[in-house]
Amino acid sequence: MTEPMLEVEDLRVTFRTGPRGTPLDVVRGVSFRLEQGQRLGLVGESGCGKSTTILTLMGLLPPNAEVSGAIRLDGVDILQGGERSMRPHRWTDIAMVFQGAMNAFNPTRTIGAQIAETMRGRGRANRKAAHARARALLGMVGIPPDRADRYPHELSGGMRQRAALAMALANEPRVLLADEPTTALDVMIQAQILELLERLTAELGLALVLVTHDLPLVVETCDRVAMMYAGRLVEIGPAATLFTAAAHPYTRMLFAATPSLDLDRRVTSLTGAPPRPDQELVGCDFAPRCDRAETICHVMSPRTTRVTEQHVAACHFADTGETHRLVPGVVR
Amino acid sequence: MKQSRYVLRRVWAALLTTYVAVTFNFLLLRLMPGDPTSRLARVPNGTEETRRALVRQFGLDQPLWRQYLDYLRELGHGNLGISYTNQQPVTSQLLEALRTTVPMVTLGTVTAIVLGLVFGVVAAWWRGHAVEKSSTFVSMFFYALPTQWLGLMLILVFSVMLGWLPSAGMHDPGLMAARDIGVPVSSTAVLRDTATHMLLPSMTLALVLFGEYTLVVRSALLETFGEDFVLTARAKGLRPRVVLIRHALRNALLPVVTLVALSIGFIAGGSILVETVFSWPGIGLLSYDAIQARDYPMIQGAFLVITISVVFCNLVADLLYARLDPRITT
Repeated sequence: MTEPMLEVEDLRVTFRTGPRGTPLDVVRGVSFRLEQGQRLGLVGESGCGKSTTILTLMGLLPPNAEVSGAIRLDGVDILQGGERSMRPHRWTDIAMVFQGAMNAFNPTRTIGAQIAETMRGRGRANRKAAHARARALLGMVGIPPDRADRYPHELSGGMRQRAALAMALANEPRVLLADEPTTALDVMIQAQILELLERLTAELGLALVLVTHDLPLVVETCDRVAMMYAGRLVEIGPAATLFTAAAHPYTRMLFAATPSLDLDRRVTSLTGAPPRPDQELVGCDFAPRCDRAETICHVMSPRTTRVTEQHVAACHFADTGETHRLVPGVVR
Repeated sequence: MKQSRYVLRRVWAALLTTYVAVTFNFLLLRLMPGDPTSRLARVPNGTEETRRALVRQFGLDQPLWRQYLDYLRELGHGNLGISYTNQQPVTSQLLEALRTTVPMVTLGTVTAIVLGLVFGVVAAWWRGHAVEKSSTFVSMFFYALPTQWLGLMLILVFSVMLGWLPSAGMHDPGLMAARDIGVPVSSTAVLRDTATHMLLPSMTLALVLFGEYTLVVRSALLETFGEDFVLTARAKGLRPRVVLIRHALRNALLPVVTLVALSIGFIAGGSILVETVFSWPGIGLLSYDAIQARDYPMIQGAFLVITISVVFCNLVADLLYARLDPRITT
């Protein structure tokens, strides 16, 4: 078997907070693979380490972060060499659309110039060609190319978001990381942006990592979903499988907490809060909030179990199947 | 289109500000206790008649609105009046004082701006390192020193102990005397002489001023570093220098421009403290003496110069702002 295009193995991120502060373990062993053209949804509550994971892939963590593990592109680790091994891949292999990407543009420079500058200084394009390509890219995301000469504040929020997407595509990356690309946009624009994101990734054969806490959106957009809880991946599997037959109680409870048009189904809420990153954890991280926790859950950390070929979950009862398939209202 | 409307609005505002300031200057002086004759009257042999004669001569017996209109009319003709204390035209004295003040204060201010930029950028770039701490410490240390004390210490070190630089005035009296009695003195020698006299007062000013810039530049930069577009610029794989200059500094300098414009505006005001310590015969000393003597025309003139200079520099800053930040004009 050939090397996976992108492989993340046992990624850990710890933030040091001053000489005497407790180190914060924000990402605690994340592993996943991504092949060309695949779409992976990364889902979890606020503060579970989604954005930190993504920023680690870009090598953009603040200096007080300690990172271990491996990030392999075509089998080559780009994490070990630090900034020096990371920078050549930024925006050429892995590009990103930021959370609140509307602020991704420098207010004092034109949109076109900022898209063009990603192509220059890499021996890829001269000034003229870069600007021409910037216009073409804008056209590709449905913005009239003459807007390239406009300043960010002259474009609407949705347009800026499209422009940010155009900018991410400038160097034909293989992986696109999108960190909640539709927050702060109204529902109509959200739908447009997502449709655009889907269409472009399909057309260009891009692999996509979509970070969000919008579950229905993930099921609709992504092939696979990775559930993150307290810095760990608790379940990865095909989107449809997680929707109908989640193996981890967290996934199931999160789906049950999603409002639905189905009147028969009651929306249940997930009580409690995730553990803080400075907390000592014994047993399963989710045990205190889990409705099925048994004694073992409070003393032993669960191993990652393979449910099916494509589906793994970190739960003591993951392979006992049946119990978790009884998602009320989802499967009848 | 929008651009020209913005410019017109700014210019109009500047003119209005100047007019209001001029009126305030006029009124303020006349609201102060005492009048121009209170000191003259103490002159030996000064009688009540002399005082009354002077009041009539200066036009101070006229009603206030009359004096105000006269003042505005003469101002319109570029006439700033005659000094009450030495009977010389105010304009020529002001110009003379400006000629000595402006180079000295400019050198000091520009040095302060450059030092502040360097220290501020260094402090922000090395955030959390010892470099940041020492940079801000040095800046704050000089900022906290009283101007006159620092001036005296510099005199002590560079003039008294080391003997490198002159301590007062703007010319070597010997050199001037030699020139006056006809000894040929080259103009470069005079220039070099003035420059050495200028160095200490300028540096005093630079040292006490630059801390403010350091802090403003540092905090503005740190704020900008946190912006999404700086993170994006880094994500785009741009070189750190490009991220710093093109993306962070470009935006961080917007508030600094205002500060710079303000201080350049105040250059014409001179520095009373520095000019006193170093006996620098500039506009600071001139206005100080004029206030002591209630020399209305002279104070009005000096204040007018400062007003115009500050308002003008602010106008320039506003216009510059529009060039630097495209969001302003819309």
